This record gives sequence, C-alpha cells and structure tokens, in this order.
Amino acid sequence: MNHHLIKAAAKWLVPFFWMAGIFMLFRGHNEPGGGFIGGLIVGAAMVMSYIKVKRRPDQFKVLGTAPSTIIGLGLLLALSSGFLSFIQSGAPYMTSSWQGELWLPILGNTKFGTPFYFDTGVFLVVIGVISKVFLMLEEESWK
Amino acid sequence: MVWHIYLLIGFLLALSVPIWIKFIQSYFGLVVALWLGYGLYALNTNLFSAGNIVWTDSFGISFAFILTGISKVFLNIIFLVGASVFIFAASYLKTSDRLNQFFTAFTLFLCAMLGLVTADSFLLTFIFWELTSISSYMLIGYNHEEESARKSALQALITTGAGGLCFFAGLILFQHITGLSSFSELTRIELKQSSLLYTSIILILIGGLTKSAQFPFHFWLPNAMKAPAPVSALLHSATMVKAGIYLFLRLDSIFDQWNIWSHSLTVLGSVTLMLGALTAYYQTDLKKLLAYTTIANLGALTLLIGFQHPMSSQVALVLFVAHALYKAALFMIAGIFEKVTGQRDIQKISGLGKFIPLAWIGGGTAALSMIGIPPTLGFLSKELLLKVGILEIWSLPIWIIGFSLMGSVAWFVGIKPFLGTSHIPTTQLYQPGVLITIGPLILGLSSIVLSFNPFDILGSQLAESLTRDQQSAPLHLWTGLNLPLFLSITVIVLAGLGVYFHPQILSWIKNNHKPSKPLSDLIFDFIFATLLRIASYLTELFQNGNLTRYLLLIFWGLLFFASSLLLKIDILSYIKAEIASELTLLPFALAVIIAICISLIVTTQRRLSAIVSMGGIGYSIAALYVLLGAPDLALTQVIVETLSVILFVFLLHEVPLLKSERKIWPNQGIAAITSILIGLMVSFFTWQSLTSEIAPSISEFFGQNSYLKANGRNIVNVIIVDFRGFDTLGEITVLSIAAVTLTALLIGQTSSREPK
Repeated sequence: MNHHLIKAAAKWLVPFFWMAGIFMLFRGHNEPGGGFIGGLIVGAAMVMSYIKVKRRPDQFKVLGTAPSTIIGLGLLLALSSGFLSFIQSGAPYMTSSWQGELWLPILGNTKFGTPFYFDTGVFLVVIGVISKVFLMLEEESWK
Repeated sequence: MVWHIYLLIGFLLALSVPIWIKFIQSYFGLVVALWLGYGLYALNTNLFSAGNIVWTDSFGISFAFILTGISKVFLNIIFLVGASVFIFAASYLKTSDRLNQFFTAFTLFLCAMLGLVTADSFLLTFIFWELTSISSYMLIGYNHEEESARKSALQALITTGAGGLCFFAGLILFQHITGLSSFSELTRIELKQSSLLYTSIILILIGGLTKSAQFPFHFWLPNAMKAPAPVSALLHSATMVKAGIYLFLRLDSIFDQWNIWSHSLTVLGSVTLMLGALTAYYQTDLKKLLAYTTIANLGALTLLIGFQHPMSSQVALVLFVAHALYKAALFMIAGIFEKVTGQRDIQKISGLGKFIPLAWIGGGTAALSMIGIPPTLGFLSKELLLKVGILEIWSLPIWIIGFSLMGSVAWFVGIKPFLGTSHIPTTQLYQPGVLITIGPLILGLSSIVLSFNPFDILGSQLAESLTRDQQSAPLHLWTGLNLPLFLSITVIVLAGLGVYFHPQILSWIKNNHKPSKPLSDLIFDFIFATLLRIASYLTELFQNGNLTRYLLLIFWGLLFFASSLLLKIDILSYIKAEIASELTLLPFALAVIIAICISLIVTTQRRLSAIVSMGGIGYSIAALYVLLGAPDLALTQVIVETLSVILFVFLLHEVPLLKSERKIWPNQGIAAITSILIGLMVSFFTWQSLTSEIAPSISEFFGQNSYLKANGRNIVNVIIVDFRGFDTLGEITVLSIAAVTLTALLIGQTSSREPK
C-alpha cells in the first residue's frame, strides 16, 4: 500500500500526538483526559512512527523496548502503586496517598499521588497493547 | 512428635524427590522406608500426639487426626507394608529412567493414604481420598507409552473419581443433616430416620464401593495391573482399595442399623467374593490371578462388615491384616518372577526355588498364609471368619468355595513356581540380588510371627478399636476340635483338589469359553464412548468455527432469557409515553445519520465503504456523548474510532471479500431479524435501567466526594483510578491477557500455514 501521505503527515503528527497523550495523562484528574485516552493517543503515535520507519515489525521498539515489556511494566506500576499507602501507614490496599503539588509548564499545578501513578500504569498498558496488536498484525502481512 | 509434622515430612519427601534421586537414584526408596519404620516405632511407643490445627472453622474442617482404634491398625499395616514395598521398589526400579515421576507419585500416594486413615474431619478425609485417586492415576499410568496403561489409569480415575464425588456429596448431606463434621463426634449421636439421610448413606456407600472395587465397580482393579509391581503391591494390598473398607469399618457402628447399609454390603460383598474367586481360578497371568483374588478378598471383607454379628468387624480387621501382609508379599514375588524370567505366565515359570531362595521363603510363607495353613495369620483369620460364618448359615458355601479357590491360586503364585525344574536354563535368568527379597521376606515372616499374637500386639490394638456394642475376637491358633477347624480343613482339602484338577479344568474352560472382555468393561467403554460422541456432537453444533453462528447463538440466548420480561410490556405505548416526549432535534439528527450508516454497511459490496461507514457510526456516537455532557467518553470514542479505522485499513487485505451471491433468505433474513430484535432489546433495557430508580444512584456520591475525598475534579477519571481502581486493575490485566492471547492465536495460525 502507498504510505507516502501518512509518512509525510507522521513526521509532524507523531511529536504532536506524543505531547497530546502526555498532556491528557497529566490533566486527567481534574479535566477531561486520563491515562486511558492518553495511552490511546500515544498508541496512535506509535502506529504512525512505525509506518514512518517501516522496519521489520519484530525489530521495532516501543519506548526503547518490546511492547510486551511496556505492558508488563504498566501492570506492575498499577499493581504496586496500591501498596504505597499500605507501606506508609498500613492502610488497606489501594488507599490513595498524595505526595504534593508541582508546578509544571502549560499544565500548571499538578498533584502527584497514587491515583496518578496508577493512571500512568494504565497509560503504559494501553500503549503496549495497541503497539503489540498492531505489530502482530503487521508481522502477519510481512511474511 | 506431632502427627502433623510427621505427615508434613512425608509430603516434603515427596516434593523433594528430584533432589534425592539425583544423588542416590532409586535408593530413595530406602529413605522412605526408614521414615515409615520410624513411624511404626513411634506409633507403637506412643510418641505421636494427635494435635489439632483449625483450618476453616465455618465448614468444620480442621487438621485433627485420630491415631487410635481402627486408624491405628490401618496405620501399622501401612507402615509395615509400605516400608517393605519401598525397599522392594528401591531394587526393582534400579534401571528405570523415570524415577522422579515414579517416586513423587508413590510417596505422595503413601502420604495421602496415611492422612486418609487418620483424618478426623469429613472433608479432610475427602481431600486425602481424592489425593489417593489422583496419585494412583499417575502410578497406574506409569508406563504411559502403552495405550492400555493410559486407558486403565483413566478408567481407574474415572471410576474412583465418580465414586469420590458421590462420597463428597454424601458427606456434605450428612454434615448438613446431623450438624456433625468429624468421625470422633459420631459415637455421641443417635440418628433419626429421614429420606435425606437415606440418600446420604447411599452416596457414601457408592464412594466406598467404587474405591474398594466391589461389584459392579470391580472392573478397574484387574486393569490397574498395568502398573509396575511395587505399585500393585502397595495399592492392592494395604492401601488404595482398602480405603473403602476403612470407611465401611469407621461408619459401620452407626450405619448398621440401616437395612440399606448392611444389606448392600452383604449382597455386593458375596457377589464380589464369588466373582473374584471364580475368575481368579482360570487366569494364567500372575498379576491377574492376584488381582482377582484381591477383589475376592475385598468382597469377603465387605460381606463381614455387613454382618450384624458383634464380632464381625473385629474379624474383618484380622482378615484385613492377614490379607494385606500376604497379598503385598505375593505381588512383590510376582514382580521378582517377572524380573528374573521376563514372564508372567504361571504355566511357564517353575524351578526358581534354588535360584532365589530368599524369595522362596518369603513367597512360600505368604502363600501358606493365603491358603490358611497354621501357624499363619491367614489360618487365624479364616478360623474366626468361619466362626462368624456358621451363624449366618447361608453364607457358609460362599466362604468355603471362595476361600478354597483362593487357596488354589495361592499355590500357583507362591509355591508352584519355586518347585520342580526350570523351563528356562539358569544362564538366561536374571539374578535380582538380595535387596529385592527383603520386602517379601519381612511380610511373609510377619504373617507367621503375628499369628502367635506375641506380647498381645495384635490383640491390644484390636481391643482399642472396639466400639460400644462390639465383641472382641479371640486370637488363638488352637481353639480345640470344633466346627470351624473342620471347615478350615475342608477348605484346604478343596484347595488341594483345585490344584490337582487345575490342568483339566483350565483346558475345559479354554474349549468352552471364548476369551472376551468382561461385560462390565464393555459397559464402561460404551458409556465412555457415548459421552465422547455427545460431546463432539455438541461441539460441532455450537463451536463449528463460524463466527456468524456464534453471534447468532449468543443473541438467541439473550433474547430467550429477556423475552419473558419483554413480552410483559406493551412496547408501543411505552415508546409513545416515555421516549417520544424527551426526543430533541439534535440527537434525533444523529440517530438518522447512524441509521443511514448502518443501511450502507448492510447493503454495500465494498469493504472500504463498509469500514468508513463504521467510522461514521462511531463519530456520531461520540457526538452524542458531547451533547449529553460526557466529554471524556467522547474523546475516547473518537480516538478509538480513529485507531480502529486505521487498523481496518491496514488489515484490508485480510478481510474476506463480501460475497455478492450470498443468499438473501434465510441467512441474511434471520440475521436481520435477530439484529433488530437485539437492538430493540438492548435499547429498551438501557432506557429502563436509566429511568427506573431501584436504589439511590451512586453518581450522587461520586459527584459529592470526587473532589473532597479523591482530590480530583474529573469524576470519570476519579472513578476509574480511585473509587473503582480495583476494577480498572482487573480490566488492564484482561487487556494484557488479550494481547498475549492474540500473539498465541497468530503464532498458531502461521505455524499451521507453514508448509508453503
């Protein structure tokens, strides 16, 4: 298939999608957005950057590693975020605990706490799954 | 030492088998034998304490054990026979290459058996009961390259497993009716008659009958002879098949007032005894001979337990001890013959007495005990048994015929192969060494020593196991010239005649009886094959790989369950009254767009148009979300739609072409009707669930607490990551699993496509 159009567009769209995805992740707790949407957007960015380079699917790296590793890391982060307040104060699993606020450019004051870490886990899992599925299907057509 | 610890060590031994095997190979058997020997010593010097660890109080399950009474008798025998068999196994399996598998299962089985005969709480007993079934499955199927071994193992597992389930159901029922959850509480109660209790007794009875290979469930036992010799020696003498006998003995004192209990036991016991003894007599395979006499003996035990005589349970215990000792020894001897000559046919083995003298002593004494020649335990038990048998005069012929036939068999297995001269030159025989003969020697000699009841070993244990209205059995070899003694001599003479006329009878049977599979085996095979056929038919019906059919089946199922609700409502008036009043222009316009897209998908022949129309539906729904004030959902919907359209375009070459020649009716017509009905149903239920207030809505709570408690103003996100965070965790796990599964699916597909 002719991917020239997508390739040209990808050059500009990929960084934008990246920013949009991360933006969604960070603002999610107060404004529309969140880890799931952010993950979907970055996942789309992954698909586009794959089209741009068009390497063998099994050699394509997502965030510098294999997609399944990203899935695993995301699950691990989500799972372990629930333990933080348990370690701190012995509260039940998944009780939220907030570490404080940080001023970030564009986003403004952003709060950091276990729900945010959890959301980041979701973010990673979604990116991983989308890339994984896409790459698997690509590998099929590559054969 | 607490009994729990002792058992735990056993299970740890079973788990650590690979490490042991690495260093000492099959001599691991000696380690287990040592552990069992210590058990025997500790039990009889009262070093064990029962202890109690609560597991699940609400179900009455606790790790409580009984180490007295019947349990003690069984324990002693398992220790003694187990140790002998493990010593035997250490030598027998020296050249085997799957020692890990064998010893893990074998040790596990032994521990399960020790647990089974000591467990106090019903459910714990059941757990051990199942554990013996499972581990014996692995043992019987040890030679898994042979199809017959796999089949026999499966047959044993299915039969005892099905019985186990009945037993389980019976125990739960019993526990439910009486409120009791352990054996030690049983003595305290008087049972009231009720039909539920009746059912529970029958179920428990079935459990014991299948395990102890009683007619009509006896067929699995001879087939289980596919197992290696040590397995047969342990499973079919003192353990596996005796589990049912143990259960009968445990429960007999409270159930014997029930006719169904005692009548089933006596009737099935006598049938099993006759069937086993008659079949055993004309077998020529050593192990088959022993297997059928085991069935006969199990029948004898069951028949004895079924008797109402106050002494019968005690006699059954003595018979159990005698049988366990000689049968295990003879099974081991059969294993030695097979090792030495490579044969199992009794007509081809002879003259081995000089070649393996120690085995001769062990096997010979065991055979004497089985025939019932004094001074052996076999003689003692038969004296007692006939003493009880005289009182139930109808059973006397059964006893005499059954035990005479078994006596003949004992001669063929334990004495005749040692006599005369060998058919095979000594140079072709394999010299198995001394270690292999120790097991049978111990057991054969114990049969003699124990019959004198030295230091009242046997007597004191039997006395301990007496319950309220039982009478102890006198353990004297010489009770004077009386009727039992004469009957006993008759049995021995008949056994001698059986041996003398054996060649004639055997050739007569050969001429008049075509060898065929036993009827019960055929019935089992038929039931099994029918089940498989039904299963494959159902699979073909529901899972034929056609996605359209899957969807239709699911939808029909949904409609079927929802129809009863839907039919009650007058839908038209409902639409007028409720839906029409709330309809506004913009959502209506979107609905029209969606409808147009759908009709496009249904009618188009081109894939790309169909995909774009799908996207159109998705975006319209996203727009609906915006209108209804759910920006989060809209955002997600738009991105998901975009991504799926991209994916579809990529996969375009994989999507099957839409066929133009598809039949409109019935295929498409049925699909259309089903879709419309499902659409109506889903929208109706959605509407209904939104408008009817069953419980106060939870969204109020989320709205009020989202910022206060969870520090976030985006309620949807707060719900996802905080309030319902645990759900999300599950969802992303499922998502990950789906990705992994997809990998597996695609890999499977490519490998099947490989040949090109």
